[in-house]
Amino acid sequence: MPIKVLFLTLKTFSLTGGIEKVCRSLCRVLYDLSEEDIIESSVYSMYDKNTDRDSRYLGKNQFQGFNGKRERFVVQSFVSGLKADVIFLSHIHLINIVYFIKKIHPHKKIYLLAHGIEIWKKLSDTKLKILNQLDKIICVSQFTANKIMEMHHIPSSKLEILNNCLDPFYYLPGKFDKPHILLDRYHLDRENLILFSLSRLSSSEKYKGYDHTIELLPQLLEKYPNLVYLLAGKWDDVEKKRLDDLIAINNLHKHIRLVGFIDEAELTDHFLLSDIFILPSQKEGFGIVFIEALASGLRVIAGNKDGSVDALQNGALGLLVDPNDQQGIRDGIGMLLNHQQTDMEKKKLQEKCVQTFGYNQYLKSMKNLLLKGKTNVNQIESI
Amino acid sequence: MCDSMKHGGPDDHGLYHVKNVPLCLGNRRLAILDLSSNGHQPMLSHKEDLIITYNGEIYNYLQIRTELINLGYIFKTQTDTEVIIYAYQHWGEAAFGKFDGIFAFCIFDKREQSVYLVRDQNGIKPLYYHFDHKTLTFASEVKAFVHADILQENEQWRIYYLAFGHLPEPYTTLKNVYSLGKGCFLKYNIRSLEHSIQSYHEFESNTSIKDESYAIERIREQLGYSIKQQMISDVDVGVLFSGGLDSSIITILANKYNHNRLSSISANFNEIDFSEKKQRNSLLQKINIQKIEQLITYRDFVQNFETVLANMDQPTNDGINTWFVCKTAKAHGIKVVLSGLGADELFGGYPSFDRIHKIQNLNWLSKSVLRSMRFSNNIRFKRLYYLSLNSPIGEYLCLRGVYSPDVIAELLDIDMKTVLDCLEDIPLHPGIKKTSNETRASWFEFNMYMQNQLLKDTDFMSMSHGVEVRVPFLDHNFINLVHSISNDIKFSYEQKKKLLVEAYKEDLPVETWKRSKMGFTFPFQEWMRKSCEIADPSRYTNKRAKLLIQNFKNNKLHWSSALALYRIYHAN
Repeated sequence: MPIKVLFLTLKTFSLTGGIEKVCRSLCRVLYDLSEEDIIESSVYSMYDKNTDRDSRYLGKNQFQGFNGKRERFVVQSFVSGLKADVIFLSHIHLINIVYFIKKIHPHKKIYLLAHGIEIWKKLSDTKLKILNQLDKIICVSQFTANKIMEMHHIPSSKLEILNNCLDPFYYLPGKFDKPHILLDRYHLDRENLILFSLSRLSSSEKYKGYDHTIELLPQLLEKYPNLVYLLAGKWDDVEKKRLDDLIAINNLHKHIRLVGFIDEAELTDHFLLSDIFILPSQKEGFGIVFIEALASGLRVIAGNKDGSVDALQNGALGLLVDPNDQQGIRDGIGMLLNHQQTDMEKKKLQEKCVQTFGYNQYLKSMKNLLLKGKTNVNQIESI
Repeated sequence: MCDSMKHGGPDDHGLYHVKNVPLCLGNRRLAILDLSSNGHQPMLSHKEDLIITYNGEIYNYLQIRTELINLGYIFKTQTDTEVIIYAYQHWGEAAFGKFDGIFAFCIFDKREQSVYLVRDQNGIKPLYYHFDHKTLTFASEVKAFVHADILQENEQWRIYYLAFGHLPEPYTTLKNVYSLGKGCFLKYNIRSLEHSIQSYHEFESNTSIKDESYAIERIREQLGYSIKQQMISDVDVGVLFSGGLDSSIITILANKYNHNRLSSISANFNEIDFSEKKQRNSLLQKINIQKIEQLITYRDFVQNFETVLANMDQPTNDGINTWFVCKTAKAHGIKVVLSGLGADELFGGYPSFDRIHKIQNLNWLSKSVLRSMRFSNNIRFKRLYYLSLNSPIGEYLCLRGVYSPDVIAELLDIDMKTVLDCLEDIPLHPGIKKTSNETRASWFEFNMYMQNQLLKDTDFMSMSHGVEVRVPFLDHNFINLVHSISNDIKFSYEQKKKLLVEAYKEDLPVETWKRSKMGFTFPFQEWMRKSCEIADPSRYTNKRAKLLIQNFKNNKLHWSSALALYRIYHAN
């Protein structure tokens, strides 16, 4: 008999953030395992519409979007949850739904995905109580797991670390040339050294890693006059204006390109265009963008104070810097710029990344979790 | 002009002009028969009094060649081009009707000082012409005319495009550049400057076959013959295999008559809803052919979109799928492919066959009621307005149109009367009004949708890769046969393309004929909704367009309608 799996999400298709990317990969896992007749899956999304579904990740009959109708979502999730063998929750906000289900059926497996900042904050007593009753909390990084143990005193036996994976449809380049279409679009040539950041450019975000890079530019330009900083991501108007002003005041318009939202069809190409991906963040749960850059053969500089450490495999895949140490970041950039990456090096970096964070490994781990209650079966055997 | 069409004729090129003759003929060659330089064009007769430039294939050229040899003609080459020359020399204008194939050619007859432009019976190969006071200009593509300084835009093309999703023949985007009708020839005297257009072939419908098993037997016999004949080629032949009924039939028959290894070309998608691999494999496992499966992704779509639009000779809402599959054929060195195009139109495979009954039931409504339908919010209901038109074109537009006349007027910022006058003026066969529903639906599909959209798109999209698409269902003997079968056994409301299914049921896996799949269906709705280029309302200044694109984003508008807006406002 296939295992009945219900996956509850807030949004999966109508946004393109990190959490949504994880949800999409998990949807595809559920689809692939359904095709193998191991499970029977349903995915409910509170805020997506049915028509938001991206049909690469799951079939029509496996998805229901509730378009913000929260009561309906809760009722239907509860009813279907009673019939399911396993329930996945994509977000801590959904945890109340499973309270009575767990009461009625204590043996029903309930797993929560813990991404980052959403679970590092103080939780209500009710939420904490339910959190303790869950069978597993699947943490996207060691950092998130540590935070949960530290803040919520959840025993480590309840935690599983399963790093995020590359999207199953992420385009892996076979060649590493800089795409001439993008060079032309941004008025660049092959002589330019390109730093690249991709992040939501939001006025409400307090910590702005890209501000630190902008600050460093004048110093870097003295040594690398061909340097250009490509800053991408969806912006809000306030932030865009702030950045425009900042660029104008520092007279950096020749060396910064604000490129806005990047369509997934061009994401790999932007990594190919660049020489370094840089985003020394402080509150990243994992940072899928880092592994996307690495999978395109691009070198990465990330912060050493959050989940980025997992994405860069403790520095084995990229350079970890203290996000508050400007001098350190500058030296890091300089060190990388002084060495031009060869195609062979890019290929190797790509291979290492895919080996560690490829979708197939993620699929295997999830399959283990569903069949054996543990993402890493070897670990069980060793215990 | 010729160089602008190099993509469709990459193998050779040539010009013909002599002193004191006000004439110049040009050619770009896609070599398929007799790959040697013997096939160079324009080609001259022995006496150099007949000169031809020609595009296409004559499938029965070997029979005609033998006939001519028996009559004493001597051939220098193995090409069909030379056969056309001597067939014309021997039979004159009567020769055109003897050719079985896909062709468009120009013959200059020095003896008569006449130029002939001739187009095949089904209008599969395109042929466009332009007259001014003294000059006749012609080409296989409309875009080529620009290189002859024929630049003036046809002001009405946007109306046609937004109503139909394509430009109906004979119109083009250029003023006074027209397509020559199918089965017609244009004769022009270069001295008197007089010209005339005549039809040399018209399909007849006598519905003499009323027995189903006899019809099935004849279908199998004639289609087999047609495919056998169309396998003629000195280069490798492939089959565009979508997994649907029509291309499956073509695949098994082509495999039967092919002496070399046949290739099937299919498209795969990551999108689960569109993945047909399993269904295709049920047939492919049964036969020994080279299977070419190309994964086409959203990334491929985005990265090629502008090129595809640029490769369209005329604006159209279709053909992007053909562009991708022909690209795959080309990448595998295949120059000639067979397609299942035409079967839906001949055997009633489209939903319009059912819908025409429904709209007929609305005939009792007064014109004013039908006109008031434009106030509806539903796009389908809005199209009922078209039933109030005096021309039967209204019925077609109600079934297959893109936008209703009021929306077109708003989109183009013109008054509605201009839109309606323009659409009512489109010439149409007058007898069509009196035919039965099924015949009329079939006529619309065959003579309007297929002619103006499918065939045109298929030709320029495939030619943009230098690939020739052959369409065995449109062999004129096969069409004659299908037209002679009574509607009672040809069309069924229970099963689409019933007769074709019955004819080939035994040869095909059940999965193939039980489904209602049509052609190469791509995930365009998903792809275009994701594309910021097309689906961002802020990119559209026209109020109505903005609203429609917003609807598209909310999945309340079909991609082809959104593409039409993109084409009108953003494409070059």
